[in-house]
Amino acid sequence: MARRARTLPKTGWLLAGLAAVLVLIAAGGYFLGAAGHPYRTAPEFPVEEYLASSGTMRGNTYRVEGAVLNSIAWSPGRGRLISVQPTGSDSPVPIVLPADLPEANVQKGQRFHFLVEVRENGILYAQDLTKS
Amino acid sequence: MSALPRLLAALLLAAGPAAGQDTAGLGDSDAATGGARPPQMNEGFIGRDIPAFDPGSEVASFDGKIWNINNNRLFRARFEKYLNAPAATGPADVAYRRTIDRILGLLAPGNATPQNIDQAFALLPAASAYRDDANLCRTMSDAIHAARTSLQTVAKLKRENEVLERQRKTAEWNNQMAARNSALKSPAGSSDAAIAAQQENLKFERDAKMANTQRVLSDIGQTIENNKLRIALTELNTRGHLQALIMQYFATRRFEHVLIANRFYRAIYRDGDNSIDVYKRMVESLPSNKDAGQARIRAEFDPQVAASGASADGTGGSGIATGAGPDGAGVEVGRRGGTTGGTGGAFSASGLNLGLDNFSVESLTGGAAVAAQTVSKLVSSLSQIDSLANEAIRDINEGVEAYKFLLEQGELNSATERLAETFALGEFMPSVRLLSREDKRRALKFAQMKNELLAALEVNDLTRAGTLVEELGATASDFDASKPLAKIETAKTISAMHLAKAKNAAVSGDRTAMEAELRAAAEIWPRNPALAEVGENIFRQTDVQQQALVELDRLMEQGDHRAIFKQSARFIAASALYPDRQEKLGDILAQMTEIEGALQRAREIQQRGDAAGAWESIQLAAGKYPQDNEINRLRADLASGGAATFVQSLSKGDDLTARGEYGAALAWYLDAHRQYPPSTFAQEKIDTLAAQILPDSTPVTP
Repeated sequence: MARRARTLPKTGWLLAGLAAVLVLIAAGGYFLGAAGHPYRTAPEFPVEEYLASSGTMRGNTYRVEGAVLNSIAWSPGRGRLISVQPTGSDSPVPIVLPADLPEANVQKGQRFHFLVEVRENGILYAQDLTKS
Repeated sequence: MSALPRLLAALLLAAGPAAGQDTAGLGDSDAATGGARPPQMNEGFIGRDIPAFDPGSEVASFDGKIWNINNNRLFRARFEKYLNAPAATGPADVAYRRTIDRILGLLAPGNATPQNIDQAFALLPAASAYRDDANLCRTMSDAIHAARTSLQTVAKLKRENEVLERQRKTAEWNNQMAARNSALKSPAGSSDAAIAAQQENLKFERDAKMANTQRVLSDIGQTIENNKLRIALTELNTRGHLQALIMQYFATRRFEHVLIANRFYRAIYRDGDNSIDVYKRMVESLPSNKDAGQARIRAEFDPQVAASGASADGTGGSGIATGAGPDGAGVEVGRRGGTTGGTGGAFSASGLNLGLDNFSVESLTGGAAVAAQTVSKLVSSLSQIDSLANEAIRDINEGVEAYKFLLEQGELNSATERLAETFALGEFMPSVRLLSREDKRRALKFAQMKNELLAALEVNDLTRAGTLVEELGATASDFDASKPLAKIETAKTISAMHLAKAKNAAVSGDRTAMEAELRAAAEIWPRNPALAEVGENIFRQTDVQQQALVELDRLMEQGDHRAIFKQSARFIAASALYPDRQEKLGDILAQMTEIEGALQRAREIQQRGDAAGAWESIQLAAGKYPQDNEINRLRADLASGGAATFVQSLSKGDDLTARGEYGAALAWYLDAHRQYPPSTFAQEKIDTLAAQILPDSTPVTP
């Protein structure tokens, strides 16, 4: 009789410990992932919506992660126009890197996190960028 | 030229089927002579007043007109009629021949006894009963009867004059006796006055006694003179009548009648005077009015024979009228009015009335007077006429023999020509009339073919003429085809040259010249097979050209350059003569060539699987030629096919650009460029928008 009573509390502790471990793992993953998206407060850029109707998005700020496809134009006073292939989309989008943006060595094929604002004529202007 | 050919020409003109036909018998003499003056038109040493016959060319000429005795239409018709006629061997023909031969036999030199002459005279009415004689013997019989009657009249007048002479002698004797018995006695008185008065009384008494005899003597003398004049005029009348009749027979080629009449003449007038002075005076006095074209001539031959007399108790005269008919010359001599006979106190005669009634120099009948004048110039006696008639008969008989011989030799051309000549001269001669129909048939066929050839050449039916020349050459070994062939070939060549000129004129657009050349070609050879063909082609070509020009203008107005391009060869040919259209057409064809090149390139790119590249290629052409259906069709096919997403990206970019959404537009262009990196369209649009987004920027070459 006494041996059966000692077994039951031991199993309960094991299940609780396992659940705690799982919670810890999940929380760690959450926090660890959030550490890869520097502009967590900005919504992800809706590429399809933008291609269909950019006018409704004017004034909004989005975060975009993608690979630099090409440099289209460059103006010393106005900045640089590049094309970016957003992650999860086949359609490249143009982003203007204003001249006053902290200088970043943007090269073709590099992946960046962009914080972009939709301005006049639906043009995306990068407010900030972080190499991913 | 001997007398016979000249006479023959005169006879042919007088007999005349040819007279008044100008040069019809020669076909187109202008073509034959090239418009040069024919030799017959030249003035000969005896001028052109006398008809001339050239045996070499078988052409008779007179008064500036020429006739070919063989190639005359009317003569040909008459000759064919003769060739078709059976031989004159019927009972009536035989009887007529026997009668004529009998008359000639009775009147032959040595046989012409008074009995034979009377017998021959009696046969003349019998001979005139036959159709072939055409009543000529009846006319002759009447003339001979008149001559004989006139001789009797002359004899009677002569006898009358003999009686009158005797009466005159008696009257003269009586007059003498009256004068002798009435001698003036010595005056019985003593005073001079008494003596003078007595002598005066005696003179009146003697004159009274002689008055009667002197009147009788005067009447007799006047009557004798009147009778002498009547004798002279009667002889003149009857001789002239017979001479004219003989000349008429000669002119109408009745040579046997010439011989018969001539022998009667000699039998009647035995004084040996064979001259034809009466006839000559008659025909030479005939005036002619050639300038007037037509003339009605009556010549008065007035010998001014008149005798003074107390009264004109008779009027009259002799009239000789020469008339011409379509079948030949006719000369008639007769008395006009009446002449009183008897022993009238006065005689009056208006003389000979010579004339040609219904005579026209320019008409068929004019030949008769001409022939009469010509013959009268060339002969001076009936003996000459007689010998010429004999010569003609011999020539005719020889002609018939020659025809038969040539026929046997198969030389139909010469045979037919000899027979035609013989027929022209001796149409009424027995040897010609007795030629059998079988003998004439071959010549008939040949003559018909030859006449047909002449007709074909006259109307320039060269095809038929060529065929006939070949057939004639096969039929007659002696047929000379060189002359007709030369004409045929020359005309064909000239016609072909005109057709070639017409073609050139049509090509150069000179419609007036084309029509003139076609007309000239048609005139030379109306039935030229090439004429219709060329004419049809030319007009069809002209019609096609006009239609093409109309269609070209319409397509230009519609801007359907592709339709013009598809028929470029037709329109190029049609517009060759129109510089304005030619220039526009050149521009259109250049554009179409460019379009076709773009289409060709686009298709080649498409075949390589590069649909977007093909679309871009054709889009470039469409930008320049937006209305070309082929371009639009291919562009639409590509836009809805392999290049659909690419074109859609560009299209959306364009739409957004138009809406001012340059960012999204640039995104679409970038997407198009992603799909087709070589795209010049996408690159251009990207660069354009980039310049707008970043003014003052410079493109960055990837």
